Amino acid sequence: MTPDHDEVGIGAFASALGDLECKPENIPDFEALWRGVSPPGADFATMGCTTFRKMSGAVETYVVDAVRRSLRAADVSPADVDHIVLATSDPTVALLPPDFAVDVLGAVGLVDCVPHLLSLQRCCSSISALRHGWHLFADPDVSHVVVVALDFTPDDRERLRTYAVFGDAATSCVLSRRDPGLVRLLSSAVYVDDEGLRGRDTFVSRQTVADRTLSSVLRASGRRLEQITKVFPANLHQPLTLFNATAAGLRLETLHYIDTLAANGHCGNCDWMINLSDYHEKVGIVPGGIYLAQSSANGFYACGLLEGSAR
Amino acid sequence: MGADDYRRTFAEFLATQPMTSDVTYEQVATAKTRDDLGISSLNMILVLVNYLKERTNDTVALRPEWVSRLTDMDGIVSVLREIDASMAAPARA
Repeated sequence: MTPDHDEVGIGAFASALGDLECKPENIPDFEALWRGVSPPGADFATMGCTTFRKMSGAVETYVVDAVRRSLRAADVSPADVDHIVLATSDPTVALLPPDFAVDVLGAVGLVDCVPHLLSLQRCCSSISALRHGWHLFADPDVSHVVVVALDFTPDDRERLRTYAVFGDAATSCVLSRRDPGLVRLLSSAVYVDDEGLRGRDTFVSRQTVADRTLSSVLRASGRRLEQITKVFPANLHQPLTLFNATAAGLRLETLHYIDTLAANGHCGNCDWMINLSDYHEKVGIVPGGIYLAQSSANGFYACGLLEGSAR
Repeated sequence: MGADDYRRTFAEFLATQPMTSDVTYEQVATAKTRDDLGISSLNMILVLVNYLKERTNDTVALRPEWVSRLTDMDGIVSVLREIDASMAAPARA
């Protein structure tokens, strides 16, 4: 990071969750679907997801809503946004309409804004988007960057997976030069688990990529694992989330996800922003506190180490 | 208890779990990996979480160094031994 990057704050987090609250058990053929993706006899109730959120309208509506609310909260005019970085998982890319970016730019009034799309890293794409958005400030003319995560699943039968229950959401935040925002990015990293990409991941391969990623962000920032105040993880099934955190050496009491997992399920790339916002609303991000935005997917592990801004 | 005894302990515990109730001691005794028993990674995690809860009432927490040992049977059995040993060890001031 250059000295200029120290002036970049991240804040105005906003979430536009799917407007319909649904129960997984009400998905048609729930029992058969759950049996198909889970160990025999596994109790769905122990997975931690009580309801998920479903979008009843076009995804652009939710993205526009989240971005508008972020810009209002940051007190930034849409005309002053230089870049918007959108992140989504690989299957969702194929579901976006051809004029998606143009529609979002037009609806929000982003008249001098370059759109970017970051994907192919499954649910780790949004942490890479934050990293990419941050690096755009290497251009001294850049003042404001919006980072957006979105994920949705049109067919309810596709929501139940071995590792999570998928919900729909769009989330956003604003990166601004010379504004402390809520947090600043100390370091970030994303690494590949090649065995995971090929569907042959093991406990060892997953632990290795987690260790590698965490070591990278800690080394780059000069911070230690014990200094992390809170972790905003991906909302996978609760036993998996706990196991993955333990495997990575994270203290379980630092995880913040239980309530959002119960209410929303796993909203793909949106989870870390949803969890950060929920934590800030309930507890509060404190200046100088160290926070970890974290995501994992088959084949990927991503981390963004954040520090609460002095305000 | 020796490793063979712990294979029996593991088999007895698997028999109490709805996900693994069909697994027999004979299968556990001869298996080299959990794949031989048809135990997936999620299933292994659930079994381990339940073992910690039922045997230690969650007073023993999962340790990162156990994770790499949860694939082959010898490793799994060694983890169970350590869990029980942690439970049996007297509390230190």
